[in-house]
Amino acid sequence: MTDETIRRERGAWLRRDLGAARASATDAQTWATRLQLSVPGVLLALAFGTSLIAIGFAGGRAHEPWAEAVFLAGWITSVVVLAVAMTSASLSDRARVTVLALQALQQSFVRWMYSPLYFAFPDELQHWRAASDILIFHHLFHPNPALPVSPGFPGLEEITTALASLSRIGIFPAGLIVAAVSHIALAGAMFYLYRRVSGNPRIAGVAAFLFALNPLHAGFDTMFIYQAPALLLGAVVLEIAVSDHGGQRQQRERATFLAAVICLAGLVVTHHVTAAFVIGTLGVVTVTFTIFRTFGPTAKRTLSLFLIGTALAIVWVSTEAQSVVDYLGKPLSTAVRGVLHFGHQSGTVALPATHGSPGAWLTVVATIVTACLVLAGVAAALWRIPTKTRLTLPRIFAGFALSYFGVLGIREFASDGAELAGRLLTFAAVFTSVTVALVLVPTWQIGERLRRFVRPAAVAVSVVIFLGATMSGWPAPWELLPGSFRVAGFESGIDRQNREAVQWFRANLGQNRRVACETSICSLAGAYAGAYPIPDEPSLYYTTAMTPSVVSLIHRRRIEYLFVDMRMSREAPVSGHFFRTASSRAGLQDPAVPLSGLTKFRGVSGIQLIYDSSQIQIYDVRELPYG
Amino acid sequence: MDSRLARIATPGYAAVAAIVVLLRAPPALSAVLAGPLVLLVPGLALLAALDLPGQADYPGRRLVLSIALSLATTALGGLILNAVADLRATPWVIWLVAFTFVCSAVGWLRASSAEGLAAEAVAARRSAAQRFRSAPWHQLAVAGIAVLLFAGAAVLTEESSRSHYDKPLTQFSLAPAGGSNGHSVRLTIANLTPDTEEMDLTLFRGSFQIATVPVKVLPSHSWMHEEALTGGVLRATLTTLGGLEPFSEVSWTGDGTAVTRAPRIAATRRRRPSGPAKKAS
Repeated sequence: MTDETIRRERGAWLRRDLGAARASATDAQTWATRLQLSVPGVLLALAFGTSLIAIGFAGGRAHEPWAEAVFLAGWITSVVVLAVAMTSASLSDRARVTVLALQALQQSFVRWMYSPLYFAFPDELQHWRAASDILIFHHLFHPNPALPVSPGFPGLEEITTALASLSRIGIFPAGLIVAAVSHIALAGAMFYLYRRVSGNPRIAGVAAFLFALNPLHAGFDTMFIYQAPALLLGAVVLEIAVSDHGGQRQQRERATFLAAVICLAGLVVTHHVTAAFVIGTLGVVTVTFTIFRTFGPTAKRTLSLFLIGTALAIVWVSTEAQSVVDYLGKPLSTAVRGVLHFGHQSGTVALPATHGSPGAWLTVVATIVTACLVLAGVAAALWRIPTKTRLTLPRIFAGFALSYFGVLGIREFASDGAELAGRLLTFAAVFTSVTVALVLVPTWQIGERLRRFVRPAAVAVSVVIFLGATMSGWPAPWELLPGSFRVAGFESGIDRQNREAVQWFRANLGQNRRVACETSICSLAGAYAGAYPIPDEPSLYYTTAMTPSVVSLIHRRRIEYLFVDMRMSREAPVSGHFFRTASSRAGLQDPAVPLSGLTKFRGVSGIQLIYDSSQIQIYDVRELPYG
Repeated sequence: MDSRLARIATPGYAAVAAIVVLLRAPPALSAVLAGPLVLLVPGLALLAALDLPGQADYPGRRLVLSIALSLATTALGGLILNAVADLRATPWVIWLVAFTFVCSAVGWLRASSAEGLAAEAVAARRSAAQRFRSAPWHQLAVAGIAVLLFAGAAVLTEESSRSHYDKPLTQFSLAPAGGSNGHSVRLTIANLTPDTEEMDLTLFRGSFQIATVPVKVLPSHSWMHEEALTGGVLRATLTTLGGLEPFSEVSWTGDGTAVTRAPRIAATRRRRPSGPAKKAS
């Protein structure tokens, strides 16, 4: 069978789209399949949902008890409308892309509404420091103690500082714009990728919609982090790699390939994990194509991109980004060891709902539903797609979707696995989304009675997946709404008290000071004060007297200043830890710090209390004598 | 519009944006023009140079590719700039405009293609205009209401977040006074509340109270006072008027010993091994 024959037969199968045909035939009979939405209708519904979310946020800031219900109502309204629109058989391709872009726009807008005045998430603050250093020193690769690996992957900061330099709008607005534009463009890129994989616009639309429901997408991938532009670049590379250029001129195919190489090079200097994911996927696709199909044009293209990507990554890591080996090596080896030894330990942060919070059952239900749908999707890809069409890509993606179970394994069995699993879910979702979409948009013949339930079921499943993702992704369940301060929370750990203290610190003491602090203040000090944060010395605070070991610790770590947040004595850390701890302590709950542990520095010879805002104190310990 | 003329639009925009940026226009205007210059125009020009047309089955793909290529070329261009110049506004403008001009020139030379960028762009614009004209008025009204709702959400967010952030805060700080050679310290009270703050500042030297001063600080203002260091511990507290318990406190205990910071760091550095440990013979 020649490639042209394969292409013709596959085209015939794809055009058949039994799901759409059957849906239109029975549309007159069932309201569920008849319901159609126009793009302006979707826009209005999303605007209404966004307004509810804004009211929920305002209520959260005013500590109103109804706020969370209104917030969730806003999101659920949006998800239901989007699901109804994307499962529609009559929506045009252009309308599908527009609706997906609107979904991404809403996610970015809600992200801004959550923290509209400044970056508050630790990762964002780390990148803020890297961008700030570029604006100060006008060069790349300046060491960043807040995130040592980030100078080696300066793509995000380069784009942001270019925009900030040209427009003079500051890092915060420039970062928001870069992250939002990347996120919205990613929605389109995922649709085109899934269109290439499935060959069916309806499946592609539902798959891209489901991808946007993954736990990290709305909250994390919209942030000012290097993953935001990297995901777009990675999606474009994969889309070009698996595209079928049948009938295209060779010159044009070369041009497309060159575009992919440029995006791949941009990706390698932007984000390590996304680059590794894309290059690895290209390699496995090449091998699978070669084994199960032929070494045709697609396999040659993926192989070429794989080799170029690998070469670029090796050159980049060996010259400018050597720190990434240590940065990724430790957590990966810890995770692998944990899985191999079945060390059943929950992680610290990423999936807090699994620790018995009110939303825990939603995470469990959503995980079970997703797992069942992935298995059903794999079965559908293997047995329902006609073999003679040789649609290898859906099968490859369905096979890769089984990585979801690997991520679940890491979450359950690896020490500190929840953190790693949470981050990996975005990449697993690249495959699970299209696999689940194969089930939610059945393209094979099923009974009429069953068919009328497919669309409502798809909408219901979307809502369940969304709720599970909300409870297991970002923001964490305890800070779904902004407005409540929690020491050592993530965004909720940042308020005016610690921000003003850090700004005072920078204004009066300058940069590059070594400061001991809890994680929230250390994030702020690393970013806004240009300090060298030391967030991993809990004994400095938990010890209730100025013992020789405390003095020795201060000297050994060459600590110059100490930040003390008196609120550490009032409540236990909501994230489990006030301070950065070893992975062996992941999942454990630290207690509140004794008040005497926080006040022991007062009046000690050689320690000056130089700042007090009643909640935050700053001590100068530079003259603390030995002994 | 002729296809070649359409290809002039991209470098033309880049040139206008560059002039506005270099003339240091207000940030809002600069942002409106610089946003596309960084995030869209280089990619559009590169697509023109590569002569990649859109595909009917993939609406909007050219736009997505343009954004992705812009991000990639800006990231890679930054590496080149970093090697040859400073990463400031002017080198960035030169890079972005030069890249756009070169790619557009290549695209201009390849503009004879029937499936060129411009023809497609013109067709897309016509199509969009037709869609807009043919859109029923109620759809436009629905879109208008949606935009108003988004704007309302933005206003509500702005107001609620500012009122939440503006929680009253009084900063009390102490630092060696400039030019005093460590013989005096400067006390500062910063009033970050919306109201005038009145409080009592009490000074202690050792365990002796030496003074109580009423202090009045206007909103968003600071109050400063220099105090000599004549030995012993200097402690200062703030209490509300008529209050007993201080709500804020700073203290200067002196240097304690003659050990200074520099020798300590030097000692620490000396202790750090600089290579493989040698066995004692």
